[in-house]
Order: sequence, then C-alpha cells, then structure tokens
Amino acid sequence: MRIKPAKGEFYLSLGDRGEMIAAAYLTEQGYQILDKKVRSPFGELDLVARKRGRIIFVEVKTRSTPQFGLPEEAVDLVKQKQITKLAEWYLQKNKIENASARFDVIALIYDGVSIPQVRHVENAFEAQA
Amino acid sequence: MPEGEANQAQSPLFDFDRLAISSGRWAGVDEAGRGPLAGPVVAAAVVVIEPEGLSGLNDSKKVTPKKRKMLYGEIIARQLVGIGFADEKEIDSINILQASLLAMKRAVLDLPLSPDGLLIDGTFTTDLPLSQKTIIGGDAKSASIAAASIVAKVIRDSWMEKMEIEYPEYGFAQHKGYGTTLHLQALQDHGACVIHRRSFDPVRRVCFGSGTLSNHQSKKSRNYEN
Repeated sequence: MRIKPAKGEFYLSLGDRGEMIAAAYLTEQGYQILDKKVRSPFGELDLVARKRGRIIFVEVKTRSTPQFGLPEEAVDLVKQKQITKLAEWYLQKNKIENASARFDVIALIYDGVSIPQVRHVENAFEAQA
Repeated sequence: MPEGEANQAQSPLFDFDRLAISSGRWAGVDEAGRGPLAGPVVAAAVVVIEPEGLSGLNDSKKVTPKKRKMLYGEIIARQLVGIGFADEKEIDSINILQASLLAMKRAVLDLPLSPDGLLIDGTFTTDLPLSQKTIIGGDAKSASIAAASIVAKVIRDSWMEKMEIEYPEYGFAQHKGYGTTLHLQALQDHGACVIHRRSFDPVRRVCFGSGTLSNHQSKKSRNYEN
C-alpha cells in the first residue's frame, strides 16, 4: 500500500504533473493504465498501458516552454535503448507472453497555469537492441 | 493570493470544504457510471491545491458537456487528480456498489501525493486507512467532490466514445452505455459485447433469454458467450 501521510508542502514537480496529465489523457483515449513509474535498477518506465491486447510503453516528456526544442526530441537513441531494455524486463517480470508491444512518446507543453498541450506520438520508435 | 481567496469566498461550495476540513489536504472523491449497462465505473479523486483555478466551478450536475470538458482541462492542469476504474467483469463479480468503491479506492491510490483524508460523495466509505467523511449530494456542496465528479464524468464519457470504434453496433458514443431505447434495440439485434455488464437485467435477458434466472444459474451461464 502506497498510502503515507504527505510531508511538508503539497508540491508536484513538472515531470510528475506531466505524468499525471499523460495518464489521464491515455485513459480518455480508451487505454487502460497498467502501471505508473515502474522502477528498476536500471531506470524507470513512466507509464505502461494496454489497448486491444497490446502493451504500450510510454515515455512522458514535459516542458514548460517549446523554446528549447520539442519535448519528444529528448528521446534519443540512448534513451530508446534503455526503454527497450526496461520493457523486456517488465514483460518478463509480469510474465506477459505473446503480447505485441509498442513504444509511444507523450510530449507535453505545460506552463503551470493554462491547459496543457498534449501530443501523443504512437509508435515513436522501434525496439532498439 | 488575494484574487483566489476572493473567488473562494464567493462560492458556497468552498465554504463547505472549509467547514468540513479542519486541517490538511483532503481529496474529494466521486464516481461516474453506476447506472449504465456497459463499460467501467470510473472514479476520480481531486485534491484542490489551487482554489483560484476552480473559479468556474459550480454544481457539477448543472454544467453543459462543453463547459464540463473545459473545467476538466483546468482541474487536471492545476489540481491533484487520481483516476480509478473498475471494469465490467469486476462489476459482475462483486456487484456495482462494491465495484464503485473499488474504483474510488484506486482513484485515491492513483493520486500523485497521498491526502490526509477523503470527502466521499454518497453514503459509503472505502477500506483505506484514511479519515473519511461521506456527504450525500456532495457534488453540490463540496468543491473538491464537484471537481472529482467532473473528472470522473469526462473521463468515462470520453472512454465510452472510444469504444464506439471497437463496437460500432451499439452507439456507445451517443448513450455512453446507458439503457436508452437505441441501446436496448442494439442489444436485441446484436447480443451483448465484451464490455456489457452481464449482471444487469437488460443484458442478462439478452444473454440468457430471461431476467428471472436465479443468481446461481446466471453465474454459471456467464461463462458462455451468447
């Protein structure tokens, strides 16, 4: 159980808020959220979702302004390899067999006040060995 | 934030929250979709951390769909939101009341930060180890419950609209699973689909030819698709 009393200020980092918004967005789109913030010794998966029997690994990138490059551009080859490895680990750990997987990126631009812009890039990259 | 306080003071919804919550951060919890014949029951938990971001909020039942969608965008951008589902299979196996409490529990656990307590619409509490207050008609009395009600409704409606693509025969985009004439006719014509709640009478009648099956029999027959 994750229930623990909140300590200090109720504050969400930009990244945490981005993940919350991305999860709500996916749910709106008919996805089922399987996991959030899956931690492993070699990194973290932001969101794992399912739709039509397909497992979707979602990397969420949040920026407060589009000025310094688009959020999805932050998912480079190194990051893609890391996510691929995490996905294999996740499927194995949860004994999910014969499921087709997909890698998506959700890019958010959010300034802390106005309604966030959400861009969902399906199949953003292929599995990288 | 003087502007926010002004807004807060104007809304009777906020007065209620202030009286009900003596200290700490409480989450308002509400659910959508107990009545429909298909789809999940969806719950939301909202902790209001920026009251000034809720200025347009009023009794959530009086809101038009367009306004609701707009308020939803503002809530998700500025408050803490958790979302929980209980699907049609869970509804069929533990009943709709227990399933809505399960969805509420999941919504609370989905909050990015844990609240000090829960303000829950209705008469039932969850089994979470948190202080809980139930409020009948809570979405007209509490801002955090009203916000949760809006989030749950928008998410569920939107989710059901997407089911139109998977199961186009039933008109889910129009009625969101509720038992309208159109929906009942489609059930007659096409039988039940995967997301129909087989424990609900109109669906059961279509699946098993009779609404008067005993509970035991209907549970047994549930294994057979049509």
